[in-house]
Amino acid sequence: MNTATPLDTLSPDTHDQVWASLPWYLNGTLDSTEHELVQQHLKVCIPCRNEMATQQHLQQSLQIPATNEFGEAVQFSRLMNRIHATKPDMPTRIRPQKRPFWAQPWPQIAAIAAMLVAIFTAPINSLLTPAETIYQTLTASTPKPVVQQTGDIRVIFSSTVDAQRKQLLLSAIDGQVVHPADANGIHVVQVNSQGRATADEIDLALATLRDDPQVIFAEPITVPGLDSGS
Amino acid sequence: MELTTAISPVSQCPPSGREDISTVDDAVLISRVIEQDERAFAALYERYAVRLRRFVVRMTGTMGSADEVINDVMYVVWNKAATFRTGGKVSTWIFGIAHNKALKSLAKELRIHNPNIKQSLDTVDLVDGDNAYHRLETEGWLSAGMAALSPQHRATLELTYYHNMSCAEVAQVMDCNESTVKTRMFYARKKLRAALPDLAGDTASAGGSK
Repeated sequence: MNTATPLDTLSPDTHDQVWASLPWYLNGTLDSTEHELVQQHLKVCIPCRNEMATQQHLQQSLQIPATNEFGEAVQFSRLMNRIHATKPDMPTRIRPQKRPFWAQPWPQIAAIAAMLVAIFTAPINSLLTPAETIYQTLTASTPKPVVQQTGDIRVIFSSTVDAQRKQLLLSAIDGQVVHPADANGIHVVQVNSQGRATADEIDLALATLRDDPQVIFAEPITVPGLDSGS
Repeated sequence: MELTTAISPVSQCPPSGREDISTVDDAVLISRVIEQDERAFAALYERYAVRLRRFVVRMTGTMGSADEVINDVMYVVWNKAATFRTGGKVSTWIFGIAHNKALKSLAKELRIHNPNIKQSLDTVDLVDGDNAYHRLETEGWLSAGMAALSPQHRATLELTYYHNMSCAEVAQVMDCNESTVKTRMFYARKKLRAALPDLAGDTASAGGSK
């Protein structure tokens, strides 16, 4: 539909519009109204006609293939190997649900049972066996140093990890970055943002992080402590 | 590039009935890719790989990383096919991914050669002796004139003149609005005219009311 009058066709605004639209006039993707407008304008505008000739020349030049042949089948095989070898992108890591007592694995139930037996039988044992005096000499070994976990983890992410993936990983371990990456790329991540993480929670977080290909390093931060029995 | 059936990606996948998959619509192929149909994916790969390669090479100015970029693009297509919006054009979706991956690849290359680079790729002027870029220039360019353009300008020209996309489609691929596409095209034309006076032959000097 041609809505442009001859006067419109010659106006500077129309000229600018046509000038800008010439590439799409040439590739045939303008809608019918714009196409008509360009056609009408070209009849009366010599600069636009010259520009169209220039663009036509450019368009034709660009049809020359710019790439060499490449091993499409080989590249496709490589891609399929990659697809088969890798897990789906962005796996959703969900913290395992705590199972009820009766659904725990047998080794865990056995360990809990042994612990309960030990707790309840300890007072009886102490009544039956006389207390032993513990002698220590100066050369005796010093109290055994132990380490205590702070609830924080040092993490180094792969250089290719993106922010979204990093955030997914952090939310999977209920963690938050408390110190951003230092010069060596080490982040300090606090596990369990609601409070101090338990050893189990830290172990779970470490396992989750270490299992992810985008994590290069994950180790708990520990501080020296003393054996509680000393 | 025509591939013989014997070495084409489709031939690497088991046939599914008597269907000629080469005639199946792109959108149908995508819906099958969502269901992990490797033959449909192979057909899509065969249909797009060469075009994508050309686009990536043209845009980045190097053939070095083109295969890697295409591998990444099609990997995304395989994994994210479900995110394709029905009703849109498959070609603009795939080229949009390619545009994004090519920009990332180019940015990576530029950072390797010049770690201090802070400009965005849209504004990197590649004409005035950006040595980092010139190292990326390899054989296969259509002409020296194209090297005078930024990657975004080259992508605009390529999508319009080779892939015959409308202004709206180019905008969709490049994730910008149509006026930005027209502006990029305007500057691409202007720079090309300056870099390639022979492009327009005798008409070059007369074509400049802009």
